[in-house]
Amino acid sequence: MKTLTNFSYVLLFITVLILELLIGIFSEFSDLEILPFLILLFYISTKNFSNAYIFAFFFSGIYYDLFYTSNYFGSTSAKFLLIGIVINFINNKLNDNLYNEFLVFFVAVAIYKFEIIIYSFSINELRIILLISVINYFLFKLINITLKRDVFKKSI
Amino acid sequence: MYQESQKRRNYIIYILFIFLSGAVFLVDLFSEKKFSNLISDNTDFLFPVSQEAISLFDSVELNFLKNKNDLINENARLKNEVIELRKLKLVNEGLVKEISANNELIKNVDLDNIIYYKSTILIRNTEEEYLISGGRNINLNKNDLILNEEGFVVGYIVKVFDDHSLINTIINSEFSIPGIDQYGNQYLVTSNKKELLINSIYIEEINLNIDYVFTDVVFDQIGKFPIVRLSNEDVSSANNKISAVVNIDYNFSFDSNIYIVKEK
Repeated sequence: MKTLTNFSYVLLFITVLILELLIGIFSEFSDLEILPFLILLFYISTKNFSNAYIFAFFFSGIYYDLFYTSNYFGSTSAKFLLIGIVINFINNKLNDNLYNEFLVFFVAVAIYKFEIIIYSFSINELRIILLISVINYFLFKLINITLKRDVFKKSI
Repeated sequence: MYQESQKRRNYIIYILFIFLSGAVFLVDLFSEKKFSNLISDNTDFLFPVSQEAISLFDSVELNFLKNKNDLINENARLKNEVIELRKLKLVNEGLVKEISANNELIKNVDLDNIIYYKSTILIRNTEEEYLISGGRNINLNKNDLILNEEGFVVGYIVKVFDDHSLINTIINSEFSIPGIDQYGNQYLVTSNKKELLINSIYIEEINLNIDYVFTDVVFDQIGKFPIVRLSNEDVSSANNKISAVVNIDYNFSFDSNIYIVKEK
């Protein structure tokens, strides 16, 4: 049963990762990207952090390295796992409010896009990362509210 | 207390997996990517995006949004287009002159020995690299050149899969390609995503009247293909070095006509 659960998490992560890449087709390579996979990583790291997702983090990174980049094997897995730990750690240290949560999300986007920051850092890139953070944080809140809503508890 | 120790245990396991990723990374590094290539070659069927699927996305038209206002706008647009076409006629005359000027450039390329494979962009990854159609199925190799519809080099292949390839393009900051001008001066052309940076690496003759920087067989490239045109750009010379900065005005999209150049 546990193996099946782990496998389903791996499948979920990889599906969302592919979805994120396919969304790029509709956006015609705009700089302002929608990153559902990052939203998933952030959601797991802040709301549901546990060992159950470790294989999903690891294998989604391996899958990405295999087919979508020229990176060395394992580098994206390390990045995803690092996002998980760092985001969970910072989130636990900060008070639970909107500004702090956005700050943590911004850090997550910065780690997720660290190649761009390292190779071509500029104010314009920083502005794009900030805009990506705003758009995706809004989507995260939207998904979060939808997931939180318990229809059975609602009074009619 | 229990929660704290559980959290710590989670962190430790995550860190152990980061080390595992590091170990896999080192194996791949020391095997010069043979390890990852072996796995990706045997599991290529797991790549879900194909050229047919992309064409399908491209052909989808949202006709249901059309209404009367759209038709009025369309009518006005067509009228403007007629005016634009008249202007284009004048531009065309200028281009005819330019074609004759480019004939010299075309003469340098041995077309008989070369095959052009038309390719399409499949996906852009998070590092802003592009995956294009065509891979081992058409005998592509690492460093094969990618040309745009004007024949300029816009990228080169960095990784080849069964039916798709990963390319490094002029809008990647890792883009780096050697080139040569008509005087035999050699250059390294790099990119900062917005501009191409051309810096000389070997000088044969200081002459700033450079028309194009080409690829060349001396760099193990297939032949002479223009990388950048310098005839209308500011080229500077200092300390026995020639350099120039050229704005990149090429955008990649799913409609981009790109060609992979191969030797017959």
